[in-house]
Amino acid sequence: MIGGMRETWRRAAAAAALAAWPAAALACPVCFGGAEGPMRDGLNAGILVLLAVTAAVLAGFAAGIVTIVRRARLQAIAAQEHA
Amino acid sequence: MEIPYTVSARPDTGLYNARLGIWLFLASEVMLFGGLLSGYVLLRTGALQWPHGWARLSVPLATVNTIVLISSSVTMAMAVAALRRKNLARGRACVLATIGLAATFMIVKLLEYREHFGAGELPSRDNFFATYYTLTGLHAVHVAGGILVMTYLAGPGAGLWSRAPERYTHRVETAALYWYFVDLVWIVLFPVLYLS
Repeated sequence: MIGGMRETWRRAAAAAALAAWPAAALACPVCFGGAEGPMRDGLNAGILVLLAVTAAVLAGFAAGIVTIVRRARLQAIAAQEHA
Repeated sequence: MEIPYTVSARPDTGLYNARLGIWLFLASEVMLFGGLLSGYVLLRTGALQWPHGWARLSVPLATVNTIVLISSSVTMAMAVAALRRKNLARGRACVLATIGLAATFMIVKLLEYREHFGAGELPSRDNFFATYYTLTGLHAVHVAGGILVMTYLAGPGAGLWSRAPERYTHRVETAALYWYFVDLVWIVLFPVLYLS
């Protein structure tokens, strides 16, 4: 009974230690802790390229929506003036 | 019930249905090629050594293909211009010229692949050839798709001209937008893969 309690406390203490110092438990799944090197540079460059492509496509959508809103507004004004 | 804006443009967007559709499709295509390009950048930057494209690939053949593909975009633009002027014969001739140039591109690409296969340079050889075949192969699939669509437009699809000439013109315009995109992708791939 006492042994079981001790084990529980030991586990809780280990969990608390990991929560207080999470870097020790979180090794990067790509570089496995090797924070420097060409693999990290490659990963960063790849992420930047993908972000740039996504940003460009989203900017295109945003520009298209703004154009449509402006055109619709002008259409409504023209229709009111015509009436 | 008649579907609106198949021929005339919607007043607020200034687009007809097919044009809006092709723009959305092209946006998804940008993401597809963008993802692959990102993977290429990751592998290339992360590699300890990466060979120069000009040392392992045929730059003269790729240059010929670049000229061929740019010329095909010009003939496609000429086809659209001819159809807008209500000249079907010239429009079809220009679409056929585009098909011929696209077929030339594919033949040159196959010659290039055959040369590499003969030398044992398969995708499994290294990351350089894996990315080369993935990017150029996907692009070639797009060229083949374009050839299919344009063959339909120049052949049986041209029957629409007698019933609805404006609609037929819109179809060719939409195919042209796709074709310009395919051309643009090659213009990006050529320096990235061959010249660096």
